[in-house]
Amino acid sequence: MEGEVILSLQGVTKRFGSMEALSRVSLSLGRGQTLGLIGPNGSGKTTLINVVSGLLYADAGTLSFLGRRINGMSPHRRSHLGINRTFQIPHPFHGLTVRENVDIALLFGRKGRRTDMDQAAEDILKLTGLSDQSGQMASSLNTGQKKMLDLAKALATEPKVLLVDELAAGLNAAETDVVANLLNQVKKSVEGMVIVEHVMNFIRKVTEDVAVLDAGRVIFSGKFADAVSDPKVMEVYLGTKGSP
Amino acid sequence: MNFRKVFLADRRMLARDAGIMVLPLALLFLLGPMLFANQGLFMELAIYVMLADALNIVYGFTGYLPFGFGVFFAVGAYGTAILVAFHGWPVALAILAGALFSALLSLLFTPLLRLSGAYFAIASLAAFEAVYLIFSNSSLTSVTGGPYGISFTSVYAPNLDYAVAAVLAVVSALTVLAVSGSSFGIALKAIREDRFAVELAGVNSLKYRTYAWLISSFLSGVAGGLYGWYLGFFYPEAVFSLTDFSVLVIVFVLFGGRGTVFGPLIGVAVLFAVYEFLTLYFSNLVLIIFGVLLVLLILFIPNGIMEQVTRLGRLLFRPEEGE
Ligand SMILES: Nc1ncnc2c1ncn2[C@@H]1O[C@H](COP(=O)(O)OP(=O)(O)O)[C@@H](O)[C@H]1O
Ligand SMILES: [Mg+2]
Repeated sequence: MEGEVILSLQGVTKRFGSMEALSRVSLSLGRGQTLGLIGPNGSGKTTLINVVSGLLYADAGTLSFLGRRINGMSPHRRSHLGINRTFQIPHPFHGLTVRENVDIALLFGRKGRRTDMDQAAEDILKLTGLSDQSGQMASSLNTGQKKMLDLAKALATEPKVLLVDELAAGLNAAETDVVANLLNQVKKSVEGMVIVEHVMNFIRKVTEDVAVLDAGRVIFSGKFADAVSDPKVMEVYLGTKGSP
Repeated sequence: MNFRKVFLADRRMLARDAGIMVLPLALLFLLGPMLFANQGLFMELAIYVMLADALNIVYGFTGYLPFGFGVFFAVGAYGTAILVAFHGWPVALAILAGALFSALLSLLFTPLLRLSGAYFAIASLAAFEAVYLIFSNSSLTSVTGGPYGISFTSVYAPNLDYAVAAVLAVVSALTVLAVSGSSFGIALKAIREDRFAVELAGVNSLKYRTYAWLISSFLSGVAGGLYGWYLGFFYPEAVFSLTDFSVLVIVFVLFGGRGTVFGPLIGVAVLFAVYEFLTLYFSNLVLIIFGVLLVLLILFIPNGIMEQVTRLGRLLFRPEEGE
């Protein structure tokens, strides 16, 4: 498989009250790897991204990134270290323009400010298809564009590991292909990526490696082709949602 | 230092806005007292400009409303008065020290910044009351003057205090303009918009909110020191007035448009005039009227009249862009 592990979760648990949204989850992401994280609704995918990006703190277990324990680290420090994410429900800065949204991430996302801000912003907006919306208020974007803006902001911080939460949800087949191509392009600029998606078909277009979550537990970790023939995966995943 | 990195806004736009801002203010402060033969009114106007700018930095930009933020004004006034009356400091130095004392106090209150929304607003109110009880306590009469007030009329200088206040009001407006156009300001606005996502963009939101809080309390402290100087003698209630130096200011800022550069100035100019007029003719109804106004503002124009004016302007002058 890929080389050195850059992000690892060991026995990570996250509780909401008495409910365990993540139960002793262990996963690792190798350098150059793209991991598809799938599982039914409510299985803990978004919670896992929240715990890794620092918006929630794990109750138990160890999170490490590039050999450093990051459990108690604040989200902005994780962002500086190179962890970033998009949101399932996008989080743009509504009252600011699209360009300002990206500028903030460019200005603060890395230690050491850059001199080529304009060029960097234009490149990112072009990649995410938002060039024409640059001067518009973020609040005026449609949901798909807001998701792209989330991605643009995340990319502007030059992440080493990017966690993408259901970027393709709600898109039609053609749009889904566009997003898949985009993520395949993004792969080249990051050292590792975790792609959360509900739709298995989409995952197939972006990676071979998958992990399957069910009720906060990892029930499968391996190749996509093996996942679809794994009886446990078929039972929890397809049993609840119908055909892949 | 690279201008482009610190100031995101275009240099010419900033200069233009500075001009648009300074000219009317200067005219108002120069000609106002002559036209109305009432310098005190314009002294208070200058004080309110500073307070509105101070509130705008913390409430308008970061979105956190410190209901009891008038405490920094009061502490600035007291710091100045105590240093002059009991320690013989020159007034300018005393005002500076009083404002630093306000900033220091705000630093003491930084744990409040971890609270959000209504909790923060209420906690700041509690802080206001606590500090008021300390300064008005009769057992501290030898330190603060206690409930009997404090007098430092020896430095009374009714024209100089006005001139200084007018200049500093303009400076505070320019400070807001500079903050608004800077990368610091844009980080503050992003905190207001989304306090989770802003962290992922790499902004240490607690640190930047603390900076905003410090600038705001310092500016409020300066306003308080100047006000104390202008009064020469005051009781605790005169500066620890929640309605006069918190609620009114909040109404001014909301009315004009929080988070904008010009909104708070317009809010102060318009509503302070209305307030003075109402006080003159319906003094017992003023607070009711302003209370109702506050509710209406929050319900119907939460972003203030600046937004409405801009929208109207766009409709009138560039109809193709209108909504
Ligand atoms: N902030 C929260 N507070 C309480 N429960 C939550 C919270 N976030 C998620 N949950 C619960 O945790 C479980 C996992 O949710 P989530 O991670 O969003 O699942 P997924 O992204 O796989 O659909 C769900 O049962 C959800 O209701
Ligand atoms: Mg989810």
